[in-house]
Amino acid sequence: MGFYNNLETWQGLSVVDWTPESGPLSAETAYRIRLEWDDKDTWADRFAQFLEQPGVETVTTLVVGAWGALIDGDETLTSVIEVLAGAREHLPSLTGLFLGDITSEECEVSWIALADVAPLFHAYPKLEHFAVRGGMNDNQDLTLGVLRHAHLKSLAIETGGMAVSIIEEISIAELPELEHLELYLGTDNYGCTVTVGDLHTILTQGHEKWPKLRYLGLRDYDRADELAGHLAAKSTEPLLNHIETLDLSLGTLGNPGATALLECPAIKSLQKLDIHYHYVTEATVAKLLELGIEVDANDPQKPDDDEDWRYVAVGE
Amino acid sequence: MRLVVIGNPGSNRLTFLNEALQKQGQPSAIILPWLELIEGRTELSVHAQPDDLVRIESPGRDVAVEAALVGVGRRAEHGEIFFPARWYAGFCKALGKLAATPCRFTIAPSEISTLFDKCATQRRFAEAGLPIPRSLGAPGSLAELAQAMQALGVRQAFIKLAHGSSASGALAIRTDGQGRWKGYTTVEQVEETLFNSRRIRALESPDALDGLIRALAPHTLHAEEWLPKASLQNHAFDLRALVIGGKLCHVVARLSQSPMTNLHLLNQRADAATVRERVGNVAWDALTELAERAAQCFPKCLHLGLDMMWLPGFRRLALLEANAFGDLMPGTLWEGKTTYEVELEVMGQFLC
Repeated sequence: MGFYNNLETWQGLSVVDWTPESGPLSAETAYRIRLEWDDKDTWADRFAQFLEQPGVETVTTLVVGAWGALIDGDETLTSVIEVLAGAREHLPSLTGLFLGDITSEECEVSWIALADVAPLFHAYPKLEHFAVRGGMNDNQDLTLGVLRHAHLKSLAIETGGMAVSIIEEISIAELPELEHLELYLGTDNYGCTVTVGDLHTILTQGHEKWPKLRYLGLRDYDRADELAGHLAAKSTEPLLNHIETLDLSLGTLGNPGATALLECPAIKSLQKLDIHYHYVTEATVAKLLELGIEVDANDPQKPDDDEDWRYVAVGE
Repeated sequence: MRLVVIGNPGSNRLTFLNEALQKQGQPSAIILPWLELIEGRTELSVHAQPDDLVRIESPGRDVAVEAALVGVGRRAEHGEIFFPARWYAGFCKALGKLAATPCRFTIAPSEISTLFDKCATQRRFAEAGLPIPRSLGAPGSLAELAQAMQALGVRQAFIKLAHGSSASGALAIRTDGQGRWKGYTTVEQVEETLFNSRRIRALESPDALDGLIRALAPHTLHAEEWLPKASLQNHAFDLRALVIGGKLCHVVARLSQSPMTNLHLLNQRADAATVRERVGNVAWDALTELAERAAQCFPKCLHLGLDMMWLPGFRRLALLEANAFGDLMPGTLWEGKTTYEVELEVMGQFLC
């Protein structure tokens, strides 16, 4: 299992693959710059061409697709980040950046080596939306750095197994405008070293640290039941009262976790609970649907027939 | 003019054909069982007159017919990859006999022989300058495959049986270029015997992958680069596109969350309208043009079932396979008609 879709829309904009024939650039389109499987040039070459297009100064949203290392070259994400950061004067309107829109058909997602992304936050102080995908095994050196950013509204990190260091970095991040925090935690098979205890700071202080937080996604987690149990504790009540959406989708949530959520009074203060792709039985789903809040419990899974083993949605 | 059909009695293909004949007010076809032909109990010339039209249907999904073609004195176990190279030789021999009969075929027997050879089919497309995945030859081991991949500068490959259908004996394999490998396969190895499974297994150990390639190699392989497929509805997808009488008719998308999109692996589908809406008219026109050009490479076929794909972004297409019996598409209609209905309409004007 893995990622199958290239982004079709992101942050409300339609995503198009940029080619030299795309014409003048616009603020209303998200441009994906990617290499194709037989390209001989580098991502940096493609991006340099992009920067010469009329209207580049209006571009708000960029999506980074496959770069050289994924095709047959040496170009790393670190060098892509260098090039992106160096282009800040050409992209004064940039507010959205997605790194690693790469599908499981293009590359084994766990092989996408990540990098230190901190230079991007420094280069683009007006950035509002940032997402990164890849590096399933120990995140292969994904680093956010000491994250202080005055404008960042949404942060999404999609890995098949998140390193605890990322949680530590997020736990101390100063993001006064943060509304949306979305983390794919994954499984220890793919390098997840995050225990439920490691999420304690986020779960008990998130509302104070990020007063505008509305959405919290702790997705694709193979300890979803334990996490749900923790969420039902008194200490997370202020956070649940504060946010609008709790997203526990794509993980291994089963009846124990769902029951814990049902018994947690603060759950009813949410506007939406998303658990889609789950292992909760029909009877318990029915109880969740009676909570009086919006509940997405689509895509129920059945434990594997041969071995009673549940899978997260993204873990390959 | 009568319609004589060579097929496996009781197969759903013959049922669909007879339904289509009935709907058009025509008499049922004369059925000539593959088994009787292969076992030499009868001959086509006994049943067909020179002006009769002969339609050759698939001999597949019948273990007795398969055993007769293979000729090793036993039948396949359920799911067994059963001497596909011998099967192909037996099938070609049977087709050769048919070809020697003076009558008219909806698909020439020699074309069927070619279409059951993936290497020969792709060669024909390559000669016509049509886009196909580049060939990686017929590797006998992981080392040989790695060498072929490196020479071409590709990191991912498909290995298939040269004479297999569906996802039989398929291995999708990739490397990170630094010694790591990952493979996805439908094949299960039980001692010396290989089975096809509906369950796709992931393999990471180079030894296991090498063992699998070595076990598959005697069955005659075709390896080619694994082109990344475009996505639809959070799935990778390719298409079955059916050209009838030179014109693209039925199209169905096969959606998958694994590298194998073949229908019998129980994957989801999407209809032509959904695909067209997603890809837009320019890409759709390119699909039509490529499908019809591909069919021109097989002029002696009333119909040709093509497996086609878009690369991510829908700007480029590739031809993956062509199938002589690729018209079994129950539930897929074109202008309100089944594949068999359209074929019967066109058949009158199309004779080999």
